[in-house]
Amino acid sequence: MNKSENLHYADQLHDLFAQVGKKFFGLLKNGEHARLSLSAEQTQFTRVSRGKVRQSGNVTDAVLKVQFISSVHSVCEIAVPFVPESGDLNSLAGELLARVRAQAEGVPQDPYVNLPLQKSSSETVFKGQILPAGEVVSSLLGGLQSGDDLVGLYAGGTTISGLADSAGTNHWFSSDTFFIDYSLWLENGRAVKSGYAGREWVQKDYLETVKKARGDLQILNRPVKVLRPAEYRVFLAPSATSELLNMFSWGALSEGSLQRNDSPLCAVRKGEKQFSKKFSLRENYGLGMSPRFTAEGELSPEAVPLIENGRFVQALCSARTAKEYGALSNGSSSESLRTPEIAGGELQAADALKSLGTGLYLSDLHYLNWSDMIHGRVTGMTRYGCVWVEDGQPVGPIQDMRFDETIFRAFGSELVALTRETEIIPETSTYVRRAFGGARVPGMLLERFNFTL
Amino acid sequence: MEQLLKKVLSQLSIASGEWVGIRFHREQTQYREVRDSHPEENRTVDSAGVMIEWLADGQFGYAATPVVTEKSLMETALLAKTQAQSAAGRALFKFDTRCRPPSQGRYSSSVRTPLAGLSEADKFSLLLALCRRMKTSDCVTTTSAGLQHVLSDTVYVSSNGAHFEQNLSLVTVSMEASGQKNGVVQKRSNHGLSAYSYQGGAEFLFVDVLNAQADKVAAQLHELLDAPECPSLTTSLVLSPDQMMLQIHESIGHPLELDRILGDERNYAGSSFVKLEDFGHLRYGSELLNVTFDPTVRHEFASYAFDDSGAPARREFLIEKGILRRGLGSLESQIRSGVAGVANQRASSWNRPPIDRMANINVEAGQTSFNEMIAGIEHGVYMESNRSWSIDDYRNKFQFGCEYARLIENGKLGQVVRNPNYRGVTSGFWKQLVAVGDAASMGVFGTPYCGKGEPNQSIRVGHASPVCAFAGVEVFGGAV
Repeated sequence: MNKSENLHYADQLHDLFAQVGKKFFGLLKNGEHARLSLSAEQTQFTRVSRGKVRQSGNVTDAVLKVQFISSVHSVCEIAVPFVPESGDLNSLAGELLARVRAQAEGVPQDPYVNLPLQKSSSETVFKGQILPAGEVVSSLLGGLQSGDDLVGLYAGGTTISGLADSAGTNHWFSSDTFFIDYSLWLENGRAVKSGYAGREWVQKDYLETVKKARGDLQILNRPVKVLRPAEYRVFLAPSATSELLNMFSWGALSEGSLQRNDSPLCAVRKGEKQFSKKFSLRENYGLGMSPRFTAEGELSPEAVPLIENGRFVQALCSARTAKEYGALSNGSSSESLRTPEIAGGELQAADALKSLGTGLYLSDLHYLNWSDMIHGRVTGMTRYGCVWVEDGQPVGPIQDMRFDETIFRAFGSELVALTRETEIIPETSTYVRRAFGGARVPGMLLERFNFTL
Repeated sequence: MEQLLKKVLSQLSIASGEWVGIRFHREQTQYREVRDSHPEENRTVDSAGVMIEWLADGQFGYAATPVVTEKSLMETALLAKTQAQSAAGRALFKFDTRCRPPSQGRYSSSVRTPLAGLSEADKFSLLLALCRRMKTSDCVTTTSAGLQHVLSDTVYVSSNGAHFEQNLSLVTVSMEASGQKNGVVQKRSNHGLSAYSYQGGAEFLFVDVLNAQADKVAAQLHELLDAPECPSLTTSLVLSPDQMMLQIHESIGHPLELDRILGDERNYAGSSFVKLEDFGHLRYGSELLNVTFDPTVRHEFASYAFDDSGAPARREFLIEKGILRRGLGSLESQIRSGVAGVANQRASSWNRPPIDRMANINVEAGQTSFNEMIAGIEHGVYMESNRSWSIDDYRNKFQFGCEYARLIENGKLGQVVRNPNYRGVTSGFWKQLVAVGDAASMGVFGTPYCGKGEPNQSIRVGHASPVCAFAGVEVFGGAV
């Protein structure tokens, strides 16, 4: 599809969403409350393997979700395909209301549901110049060199999120974006990870990323350095930092988890453990990668400081958790990071290898999981272009290694420096639909990082 | 629906050598969950739409829409054709209609008692009762119980005469209790994350069965709160079926997927240490290891009659007496690789194209009873229920954690230990398989959440296994 088709789709849905909301809320009886939300996309997906097209297609999807709160505070949600061509919006609104009333019937009262009582509104529309479908393949592959073994996914188009409630709240977010998330491979099975994302495709900029990846591959042609499991000095490139940061979304920064004593950060909040003073983390909606409104109709502050100079400031707290535990909501319905930012430090990125001296340059980490959650211990693997460095000079690729390390050491006692420069790592998840969000993070130099296999 | 899809097919101008397939998929998923004494989730998700594939110039193009009208489907079909045509000049492989057989038939899950008879009040009453049952002391800080029920209908027609319909009913029951005592924090669940997953109906909600699970969860949580850390040592490891499920999934299922071996997944899920030339002779495990792809097991989570390319699904041996025989590869992957595969080209929904997936991947029963297995081990550790999983992108170096473990001392199960973990390397691990449990030790489990693919797809898989014993495995506990 082209740009005008994208905008047409978004505009069409915006209008229909407003109409169905008006009709639905108008049918509610006294004491009943509801929220309507819309998630939609029109996306071109082109999958590439060995520098050729593996699969290519187009997906249009739109889902309308109703959260219904009965007069006795029984709650239910129903999500249905939102099909503009379905015609009669009166029927749609009436049928949906009948279904949610039936589904709430006999369900125990939910003491922690938040009624939509205050209205707020926002409208954010990011327009872009997305490649027309017919130009995607030639743009992705036309500039490749013979033998470039590029593997990855291009996804481009419009993503939409809307929310309205019976108190009069109205929020709208639509964004024209694309990404190509790819890796470039050598015949020896080693690869460099790269990508290109934005709102306006510039062919030259994309090909620059490929040229750089091609250059970075050269070091991976050298003999493999096999290391024994031990502690090593490491530099985590921003993409590796981002992977480690993701663990904070697995229950760690959740106010609900903290209240239930399920989080490794319980010890930090109590002051029993602390991170390095160099480590500051916040949610920054100013990056423009994620809607600020939540499923419960709240509008998050533009910035939510979480950890400042190593000290715990606040956790991510939904309105529901706030009600249950008497905490203060900061507009995080999922209580996981959506648009995090780690503050940069003093190390010049260009000096990373020199500062590392002898140790491991880790470009990417893979498949992280808690190995002992309550104690903040994480295991995972090195992946892609990880290199052994001696006296500031790259020696050669390493055989992939498993680490088992705590977030308290990585972001605390072993943190030597953060790079001054930070990089945007866009969210590329496409489960069910394209996700919003992304992270801005620096590289990290660690004195010791524990490898076990 | 069949008539509409066939009508659209009949109106398309499909050139000689081209092919069109239309897959309608409708799914309703009910999520009901309670935590402690209150409802936490009461959500129903309806999804419905059509995926159209068009094969032109040897390339499949696809387009998907939720608008299921004749006009919309005609437009969507032409969009799919355009996708194929614009990619054909730079196609990875030139496919033909052998990848889309004209299968016909019908499959339905075996359901003894439909869930439709249960009211919302009944469902919440059941879940609240399970939570109350798990709350056996003040040490139990949080309890939760959930029910997921899916009704999934697929209608598939194609220009070369395929027409099949599949109707699935799927049930998952989860329960978990968390506890604290003297600074120790532990969790216990019924077999690990969403592992109690089956095709069927309300017969998987028998109160006596679920109550017994809740009682076990609560009792073992208390054991864990009083237990010492799992020791660090290299020893014999016995895995229960609900942990074998994860071990099979990560270190047999994924590495045998032919699309990984062919390189398509290298940018996301990863590759494999297995090479195409390994099929037919690689010693994958000890002679005790027999592994099947089996979509015919009655109540296992990922049973079906046809995959989403139309290939008829049959039971096949992937590994026989430890030797690698067959890959997890669709007709597309089989033609590309020349390696024998299975009917596993599956899509997570109407809005995703089918790719190579697992379905039911099972370890076949051996001859050793559970008691004999334990009796034959002087020192070791027995582990149950996965709680942590991580493996490299070639599916070799893994580290897994379990919820519950007991030491094995002088042929008997002994001390309960907490935070049990183990690590190893796939290429050697299965050769350390020294005992395979008998049919009485078999357990059948599944999960709704296996992630893979670009664009990403989460799909249902099933795994059945007996208890198994491995020699010389590195095990260890938590906090250093």
